[in-house]
Amino acid sequence: MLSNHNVPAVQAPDRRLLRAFAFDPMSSRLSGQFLTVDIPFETGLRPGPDGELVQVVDYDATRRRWYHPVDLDDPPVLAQEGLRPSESDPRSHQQIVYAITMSVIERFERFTGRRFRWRGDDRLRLVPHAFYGRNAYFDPDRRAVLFGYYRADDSDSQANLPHQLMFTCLSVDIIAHEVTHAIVHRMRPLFTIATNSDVFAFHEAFADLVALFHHFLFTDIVEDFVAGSRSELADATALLSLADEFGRSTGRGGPLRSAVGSTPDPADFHAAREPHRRGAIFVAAVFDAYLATYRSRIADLRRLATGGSGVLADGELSPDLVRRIAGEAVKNADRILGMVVRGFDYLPAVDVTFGDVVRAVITADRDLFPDDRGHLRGHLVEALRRRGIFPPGVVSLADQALLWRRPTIPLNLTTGDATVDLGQLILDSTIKLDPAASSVTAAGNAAKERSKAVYAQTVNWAKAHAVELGLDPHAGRIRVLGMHVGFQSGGDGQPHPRIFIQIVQRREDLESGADRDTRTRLHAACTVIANVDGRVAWLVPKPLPFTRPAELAKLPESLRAHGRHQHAAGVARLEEIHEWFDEVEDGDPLAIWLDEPAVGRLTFASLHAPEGD
Amino acid sequence: MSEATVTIRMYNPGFGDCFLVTVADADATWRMLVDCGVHSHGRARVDDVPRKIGDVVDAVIAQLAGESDDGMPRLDVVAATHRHSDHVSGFADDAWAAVDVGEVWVPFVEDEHDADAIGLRQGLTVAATALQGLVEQAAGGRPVESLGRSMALALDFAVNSGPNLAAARRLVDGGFKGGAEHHDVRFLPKRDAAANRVELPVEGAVVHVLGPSRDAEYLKRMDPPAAVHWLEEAAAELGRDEEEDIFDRMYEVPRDEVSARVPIQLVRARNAMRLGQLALDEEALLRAASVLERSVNNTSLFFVLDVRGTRFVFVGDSQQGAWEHVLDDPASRALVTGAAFYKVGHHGSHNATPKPIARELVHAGGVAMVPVGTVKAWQDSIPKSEILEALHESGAHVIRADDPEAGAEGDDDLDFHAAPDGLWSEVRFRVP
Repeated sequence: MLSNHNVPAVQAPDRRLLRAFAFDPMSSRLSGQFLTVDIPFETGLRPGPDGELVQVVDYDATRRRWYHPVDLDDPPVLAQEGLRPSESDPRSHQQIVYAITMSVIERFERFTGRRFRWRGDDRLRLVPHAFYGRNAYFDPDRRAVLFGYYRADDSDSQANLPHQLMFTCLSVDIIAHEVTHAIVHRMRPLFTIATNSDVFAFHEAFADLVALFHHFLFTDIVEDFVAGSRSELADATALLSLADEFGRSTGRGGPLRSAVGSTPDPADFHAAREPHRRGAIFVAAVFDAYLATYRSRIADLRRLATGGSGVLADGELSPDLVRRIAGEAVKNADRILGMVVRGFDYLPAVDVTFGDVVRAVITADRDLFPDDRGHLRGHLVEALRRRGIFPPGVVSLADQALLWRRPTIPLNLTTGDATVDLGQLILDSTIKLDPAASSVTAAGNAAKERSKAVYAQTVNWAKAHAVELGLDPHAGRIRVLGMHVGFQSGGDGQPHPRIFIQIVQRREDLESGADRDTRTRLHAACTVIANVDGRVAWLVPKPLPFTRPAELAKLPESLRAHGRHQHAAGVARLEEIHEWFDEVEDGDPLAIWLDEPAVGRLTFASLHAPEGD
Repeated sequence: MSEATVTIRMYNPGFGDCFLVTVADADATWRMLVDCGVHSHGRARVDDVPRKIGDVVDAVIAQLAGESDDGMPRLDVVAATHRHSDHVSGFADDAWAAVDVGEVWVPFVEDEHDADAIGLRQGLTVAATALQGLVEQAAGGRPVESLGRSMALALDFAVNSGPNLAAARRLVDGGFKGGAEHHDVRFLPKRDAAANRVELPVEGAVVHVLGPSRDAEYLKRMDPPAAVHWLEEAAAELGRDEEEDIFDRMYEVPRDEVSARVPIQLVRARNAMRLGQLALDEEALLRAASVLERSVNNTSLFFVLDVRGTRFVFVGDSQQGAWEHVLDDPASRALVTGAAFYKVGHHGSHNATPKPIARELVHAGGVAMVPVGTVKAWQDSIPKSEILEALHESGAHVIRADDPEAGAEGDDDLDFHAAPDGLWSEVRFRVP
């Protein structure tokens, strides 16, 4: 955008600064602090705000009325880093949901090494005052995050006045959490099908992790906490108390943050069946790893500050020391969260478990940082182990045992009978990386056509290699759910381009229930991770039983054992799915009255509804 | 010791419970009525006319009068397992005022002087009332059915869990013959474990009261369940003026200026989201309603009648959760397994009889009675065929109120009778 106020014209800035509460109106009021959220400057941002990735729709369905949309490009707004956050001005609410959402998305882009787009280039809708209710949730059908507002009652400790209106859209934690749900849904749309107790638990845990670590994005806040807890640098009290702020205002972060900072016990995770509990333990483990790396990173600063004694002198910490320590805390949060987020592309396409998450994170990290010089991976594996989270059947916690599987026989996307034209895919992905290329030019019509052709080729490739991928050559349609190139930076400072493909096969023959639209869908799936030359590096299969296992005998010798193994794994997986469905059915008070499977009633809205039952 | 008989007659009001239990030997006879009610949507049809609960009440009273030496209908005990219409609605009938009742047994949650009970009972009733208000408000004067199946079901739950005051008053405040002075009310179970073992006048006959649980953790979960707590809040908000502003008027787009002031793409997004349907979250409402329904079911009186070692298990509508604490206690577990008779919980629904022990509940040749009249909307889920099959496979006779003969066939040793009009079916057990 070029302004016409000045001659010669002044170039639009790269960044837009907007203010938000730190981290909700109550704590902001006590600390007197606002966050300054630093996000990319979108040119052509329309009132709403209504941009390329998100659209704020401030319509109140309960009161059936619109609130005036804010124009963030209005000079008085631009001149003061956005409106001053205020509970009584709905336009500042619009600004806050926009700012936090964009900052979460940008962080994802940075970690995954690619530009983020919603499916079909649609925008995520944010409705800051959607309804009256003590809830906020991502609604995949509406493609929206819906925020409720409600009146405080006597039990609301963060309310200043009885019957005060509380807005869920003003909590940074809630926004970051819900937007992460939307992002997870974008990257793994079939994680809305709860085929085991971990699928939704992972959705929740991941959303909480991102929201929790968002607290460590704001250096000045972290500095305050470090300065405030001066003597306990080694115990990382500052970080724990900042983490403790998390979810305080939401009234529902309770169970998820409850495990953070608790004493690890491997038995906990095995005993936990309830999704929130399992998610909480995972979040706690990642946070443990964060604390462990933080302690080792600031050890030198501590020695310097204490002349090697390890005992700090009385009085205030030196501001220089505070700044350095806070800087490490912020950098480390990025490292640890980055490691977990990068693992995302290595996850199965369906039916994820926390064991899968461990494998995915380790495999991704090893791809990029083979020697783990920062010992981040070591800290994470140890933290997960101490909380009992590791894949079943693993006998060693060495990298080798935790990596995903290599193909049984060498696989390549560009050789053999069915090949994929990777050149176009890589070119289009590269164009999209350029921040100056708008989504229109990057995904123009020609690009769309090209991408369709690549998808079709990939489907043919998958059919030709079905058994290798754990898919059934004789069952349902095989489709490509997603395909992209990621340019993540490795330990050598170089971008390491990788191709990520999610291939799925719906198995209607294994589903139960009369109505194919409402019954719970079952998929076999495989995530394929390949180098840009087409060599397949890793396979992440989620098989289901083959319809004609006898035919596996006809496979070439090199594949026969592999085929049988996939079939057996599929049989075991299906059995586990059925056990889980029964468990959900028993616990669901509505299952008695309705025919639809209870698993279908597990939604984000129901997960986020007030708990306790 | 003379031979004792235990006769269990299951009436068929439709989707509801009504059991007359008679224990007798040469020296004494003891009669108990367990529940008397029907669900508003589940009345049994006789020649295509729904049977009135009053007909069942009259039949019970006539039976009692017929068995009485002086023609005065008498019951030693009336047990009302929990305050759901399909278990107590019949007690609203004034015909009961003529019946001489010795004791009334109700779950402790009905006790107005019991500290544990007060909040729980009140919370459940308030939630039911709030729920009903919300659904009716949403209907805005139109029939609730017009809102669709979910809301109709939610309203069913609300009405079923509602106060049922007339019935409750008769049971607790003394609405049988002679009034409050005449019969005792036992709120069960008692905190004192010994008081939960009730000796009957027939030699060797005793009732063990096992539930509802008084465990603090369990009560906390139900008092009132957090999942329904928000109903109160939502109902309170409905009471407020919906036109009340949450922001200063200047921030609001006047209705006639929407097209001029709100960019068209935002209006389109609003329309695409069907935001209007958000005002009432039907799913959440139905979910809360079903939690409420289950919570009240789980206040059910759970007891075992033990006549010289032969056991008869009555569980009301206890669902998953209420069963847990019974099965967790080895002594209680021994009482409820290998029984001669099991009153199938909650009309045979899926989680009212724990699947893992469904095969152990009744011994071979025993009887499981299912008080059920099929309600079309729930016909595929209540009763749950897996539960009935599991009971059947253990060798029990599974007798359904709506088709009793089918379950009794093929065993000449079974002392079984059924009324020709289908009003009741009955099984007699002999205990040496």
